[in-house]
Amino acid sequence: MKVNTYAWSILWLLLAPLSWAQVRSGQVTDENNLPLPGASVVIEGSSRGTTTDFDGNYQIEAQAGEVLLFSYVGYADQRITVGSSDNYNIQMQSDTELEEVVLTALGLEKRKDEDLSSTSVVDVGQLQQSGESGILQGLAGKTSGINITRNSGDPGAGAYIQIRGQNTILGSSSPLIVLDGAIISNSSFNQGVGDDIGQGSTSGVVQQSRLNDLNPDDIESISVLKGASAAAIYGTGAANGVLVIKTKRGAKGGKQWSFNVKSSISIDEVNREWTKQSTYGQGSNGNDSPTSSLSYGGKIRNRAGGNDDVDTGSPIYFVSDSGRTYYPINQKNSREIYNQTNRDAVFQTGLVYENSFGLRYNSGDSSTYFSIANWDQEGIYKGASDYRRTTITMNNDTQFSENLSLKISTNYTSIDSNRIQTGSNLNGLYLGYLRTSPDFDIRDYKGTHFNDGVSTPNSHRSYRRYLGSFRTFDAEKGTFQYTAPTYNNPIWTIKEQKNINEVHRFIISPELKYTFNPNLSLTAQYSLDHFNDNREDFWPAGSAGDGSQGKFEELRFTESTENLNIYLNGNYDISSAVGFSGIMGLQNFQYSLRGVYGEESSFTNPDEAFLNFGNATSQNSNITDYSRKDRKSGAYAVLNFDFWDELLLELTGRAEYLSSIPDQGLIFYPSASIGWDFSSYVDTGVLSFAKVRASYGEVGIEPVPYSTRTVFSTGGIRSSWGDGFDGSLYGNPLTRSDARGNPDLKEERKSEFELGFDLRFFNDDISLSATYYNNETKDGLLELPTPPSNGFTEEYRNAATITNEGLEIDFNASLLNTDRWFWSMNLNFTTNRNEVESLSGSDYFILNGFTSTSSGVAEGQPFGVLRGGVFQRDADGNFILNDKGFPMASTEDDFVGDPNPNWRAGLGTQLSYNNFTFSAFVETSQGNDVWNGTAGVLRYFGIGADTEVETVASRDLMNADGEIIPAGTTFRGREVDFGGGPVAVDQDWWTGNGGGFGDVSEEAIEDASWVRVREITLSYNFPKSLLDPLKISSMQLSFSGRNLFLFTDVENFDPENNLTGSSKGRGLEYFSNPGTRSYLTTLRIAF
Amino acid sequence: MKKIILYTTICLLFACSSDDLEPTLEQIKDVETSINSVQDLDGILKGALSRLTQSNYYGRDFIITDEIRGDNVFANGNSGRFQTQGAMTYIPSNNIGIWTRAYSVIASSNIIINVNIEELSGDRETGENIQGQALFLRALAHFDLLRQYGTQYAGSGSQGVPIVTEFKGDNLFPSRNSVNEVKEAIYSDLDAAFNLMTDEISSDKQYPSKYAAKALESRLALYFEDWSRAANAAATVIDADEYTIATATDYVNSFSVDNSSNSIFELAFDNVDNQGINGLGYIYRGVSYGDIEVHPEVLEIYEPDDIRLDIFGYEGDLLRNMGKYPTLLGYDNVIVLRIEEVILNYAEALFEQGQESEALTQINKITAARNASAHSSLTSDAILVERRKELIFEGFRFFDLSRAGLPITRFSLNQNIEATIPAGDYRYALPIPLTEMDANSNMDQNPGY
Repeated sequence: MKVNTYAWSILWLLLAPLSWAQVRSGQVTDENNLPLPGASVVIEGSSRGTTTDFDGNYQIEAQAGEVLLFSYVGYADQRITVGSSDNYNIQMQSDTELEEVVLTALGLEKRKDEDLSSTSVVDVGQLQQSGESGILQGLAGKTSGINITRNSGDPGAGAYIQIRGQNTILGSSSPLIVLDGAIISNSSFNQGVGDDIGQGSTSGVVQQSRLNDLNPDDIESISVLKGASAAAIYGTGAANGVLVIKTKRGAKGGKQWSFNVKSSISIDEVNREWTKQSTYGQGSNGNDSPTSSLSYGGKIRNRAGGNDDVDTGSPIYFVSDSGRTYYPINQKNSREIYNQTNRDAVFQTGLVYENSFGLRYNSGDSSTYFSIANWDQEGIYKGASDYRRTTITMNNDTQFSENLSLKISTNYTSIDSNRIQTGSNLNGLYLGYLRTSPDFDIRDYKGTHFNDGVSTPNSHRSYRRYLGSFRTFDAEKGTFQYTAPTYNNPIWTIKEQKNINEVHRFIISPELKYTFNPNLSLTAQYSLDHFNDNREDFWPAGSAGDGSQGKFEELRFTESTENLNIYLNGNYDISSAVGFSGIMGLQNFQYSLRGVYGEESSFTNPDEAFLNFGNATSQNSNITDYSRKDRKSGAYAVLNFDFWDELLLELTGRAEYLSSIPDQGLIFYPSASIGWDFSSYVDTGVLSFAKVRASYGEVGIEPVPYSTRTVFSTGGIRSSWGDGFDGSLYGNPLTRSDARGNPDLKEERKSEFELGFDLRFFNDDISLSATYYNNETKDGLLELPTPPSNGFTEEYRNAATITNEGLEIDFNASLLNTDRWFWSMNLNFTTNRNEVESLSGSDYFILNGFTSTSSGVAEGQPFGVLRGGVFQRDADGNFILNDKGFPMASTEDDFVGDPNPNWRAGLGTQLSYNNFTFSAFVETSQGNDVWNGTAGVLRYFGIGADTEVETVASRDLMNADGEIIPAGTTFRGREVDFGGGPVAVDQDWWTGNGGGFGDVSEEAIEDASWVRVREITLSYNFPKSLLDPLKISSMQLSFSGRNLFLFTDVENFDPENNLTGSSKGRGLEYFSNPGTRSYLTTLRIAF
Repeated sequence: MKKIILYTTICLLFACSSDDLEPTLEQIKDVETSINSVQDLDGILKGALSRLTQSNYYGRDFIITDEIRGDNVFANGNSGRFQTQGAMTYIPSNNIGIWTRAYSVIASSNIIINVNIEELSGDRETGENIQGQALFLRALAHFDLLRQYGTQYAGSGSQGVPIVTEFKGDNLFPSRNSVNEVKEAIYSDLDAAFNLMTDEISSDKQYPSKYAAKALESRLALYFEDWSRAANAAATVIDADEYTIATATDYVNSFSVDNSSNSIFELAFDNVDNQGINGLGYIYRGVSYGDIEVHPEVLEIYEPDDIRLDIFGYEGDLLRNMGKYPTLLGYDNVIVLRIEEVILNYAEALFEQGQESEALTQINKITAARNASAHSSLTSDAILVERRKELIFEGFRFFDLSRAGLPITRFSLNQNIEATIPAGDYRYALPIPLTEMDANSNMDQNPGY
């Protein structure tokens, strides 16, 4: 195909017609009638042009009927049709009241007043001012109908994006992303490779989002297409809406050269931390024990003081790298409490340096935008946590002839990043950090363990194994056998384990446009988005969990997204009352993914860190891979009619073939939109613009590839002892998949109806838009069990129905606009009701989480509903108590919470006085629940601050174990009445159903509503008088704070974070790495 | 010119797309289109055999479930495994038994059986031999299902299991066939298997052979008291002279070597293909699981010099099966059919037809090779005891008790059952797993569940 594209370009170059003209001249002036030097004068639709001289004068050859286009940065374009006169003087008007444009799904500009769907335009300036590393995070709260949740505050962490609620259980939930016409990837892969390739799990490291590979400063505009009608021309793949992004391009007129420099420093710190109790030592039932998992020991301050009583004669001891020797403890005497020391050994202030340089060059026929940006972030941990991103962007527009133009957009991104293990993970940071007892000093985390003269180097010392990890040599297997701590020492996690990530990504999209005449053009566009995502993870021998014998894994993903799009764009006035414009196009799309995963464990040389394979026997090495390819090809048409310039009608249709369901033939998606601009009927001076609109559209979601057929695969030969396969016995088997291929599968289909209005008041100073939508996804894909008597256990079926209904309101007001003062406000509000209406009778499917508590789908429940253990209750909702007066866990799980917010809103304001500008942005999410698994588990361990309480028994009290606490006795715990009279809630209850390892999760559900001051910025623009002598056109210094204030009932962590990353499982918290707040200083200079 | 460009574009787009629309299945092969040679059939057969070796079939559960419901062993609760089966307190949601796995063996076998050999490349005889082997596997799986889920021993019911003979057939929701229908279907598969398989008997017993089909037929016929059929089938195997009884010296060793002379059909396990911690070794022995302990009373059925006592041993105080599937790591082949069982089948079938002296000749071949006294006369009970002595720990006892109409007697505090379970109790048939019941409205549950 590409060869053919080049052939056309050569052909058209040769055929480019020539024209004849005579010289025209004139002067270009500004509003104050002063000459404008350097203004651009071009003949529209051609490559001919010039710029004004120092006195604002120009000369250009033009023939009658041609249109002269005058442009200058900061002024509105002006057009003059050349007549018989030779002289045209132009006064330019400043462009503060330029009409707002939106981008259509194809990336074409369209007046917002003519938009019949609820397309939002994101304020890119606000996004760039936020200083977020990623565009996704920067979009949060900026417009209605879009829900963005970050994965964590770790450097480079990705985010979850959802437009108008969940539509699909097994398909992707990310919107389609169109960058300068190219369809690009927003993958966020889980650590695993194979059939279970996912988007975030309960453990591992935090994943990136590929949209964040772009440099936010390269963005010119972002339009969010929320409705099905706007996205329908993409058919399958557009069910989650479309983000249409346009990057900056070379200037059309004005100066030949312009430069931008930006330099920014940001300081990050943890925004919410867990409070740990600091009274009780490691142990259980009031007795100290240096190996106990719990912190239910005696009071630390009641100890004798001084050094612990240790057995210095013991043959077993540990010598730390800092030179201290630790012997077995007979009796703890020390009164030291290390909560703060331990905290300071883990956390630091993170630092980000961001520098970018951009240039625009304009040479008449050709214009170029080039930028290079570097982001260098050191995380908030005193270990290997960082994110470095370099982006290079080069966009070129060349007008070969009056008819033929070429537009090339290219982008290269390189990322390297070190990450920290998180979540439900014995090697995770928080799991070990938070569980560590207050009387254990984590700083001597590494050293040498001695046992009767046998030493273990690189021994890992952690609370519960305070004499360090050790090893013995297994002569039979020829390997060392390590005995490791149960949980990592947090310093080991951040310093000794390695999680390296390297990404290289290219996006290139050439676009050739041939203009037949002002009313008809043909555009051919090809795009390729290709990246490699390489990950290396290393656990030194002696790490907790899976890494105890040493483990190294390497994962390589290669993903390519290719798109070829050719369309004819034309308009034609059918009569004086009826206008028509239309687009007809063909699209061909291909996606391919290849993942290769290698792993080795039980290092043959555990004393050195090798970040490559070969440090384990072949029996302890393992390799798997995964590949996938999708193709689709479609044809589409967009037909726009306008009647009497007030009634607008848009019809679109798309027909396509999908490789994932080859037997379904051509699939068709229609949409229809209608709008009535009735401004002229209500021109009262108050209302300056009014439009009502309604639309209907259908879009689809592609089934999981390869699920229409039953397949054979290799495998079925294995030994859980790790021995390698040698092909003997039942070697080379064709193992039939247990999943039955379903040839009747079809696409998931979402249909949406929306109704809205756009109003503007007081000369457009105030605008208000509102949209109601109602959508339904039918034939949702589910993996359902089949009768095993068929020889299969499951198959994919079109079985689910999901609905969303909501309201979106956007409000903007320019409150003050004088010479010195400017004040504006914008407000957006979103509410969405989601329901899984049908799962064809199936009970419940887990989207993500744990078997005890998970986020999933069930009939009649909102998408992502939280489900887990509950207490037994009677018909009135009272606890059913056991003979000790405590509630009992029910044997059946139930729904315990809804992670979806009832409503979200964002409120922004900007106030300028002379050269100072202050802006603030506040965001809120209300009514979303979270399962706080961490709090429950910290109660279990006796570490949670809520276990620090002491109570004097008001009467004889029974605890959960049936022991009596006599009246007047002081005990660690509190008196609670569950309905059967007061009982003592103490260690026995907290380590049972009153804690995180019990059978009940309803206790851990919290209302995670929040309000946050997302961004505050104060900036100063240096006055022109100061800059002009330095040939600087503008210079701005700004100070920003991000995430400075958070108001929420949730204690100890930021409820915006989600344990399972950008997966569909929401509202889960379990030892996930914390969020951050940032302070930025930015200097921007333009020449 | 614009029309030319447009047409060119359309042609190019669709020429390019219609050819390429099929996604490539680079790693996996489509079942419908990828059987082209006899060699492919061989791969599928191996896939089916490999399913038989899984932990929830012959790899462990099938043998243990049927051993523990007898009177040889009990589950000591060390890891909590097999207590439900031992106590016979199973309910449908336990999803106990081989249901899913056995039907997946049947599905794979059906792919092979329903292929038209003429359309494949490769040697036709080899192909037919593989089809015969697949018929054998289908018969074996149906028989194992019938043994576990059929109601023939639960109040002499007539509910069998669904007979599935098509791969991805139209009937997604099969219903149950009668016990008799299942039996006849198995006979017919075994006949066909015997006729299709090659006359050359390989010394590699890890694949089914002609005589494996006959040996299985003798077992099936015996279970359903088709005495003459059992006797004829057994005689065919014995007369083939391919298999010899393990001698007293070889007996213990015969369970640790592959392809021993007494083996007719066995499943392959070794150091690279095994069930690991979920294998037979780990459940019969060791401290990790080691749940299956032997009732000390069992020792009393043997004479002091009986070589079969060498199978037993102690780990600390615990009486264990040390000799069958002897490696802890699960590297030993699992014998499905061996000549000693066929001889015992023959003896019993002859005895039941009134040919006591011929029966004695047969059964005394066994005692002679075990350093045990010869039988001078026979009763049904004596034959059952001889079977128990010989086939202990191999998953035979429960069915021998069942078909003899005997109760599961509570004789020891160690037993998992709370009280004696009378013959014909509903618990003699396992419940149809809930995964099947939930997904298949045509399926009838067994009585009592």
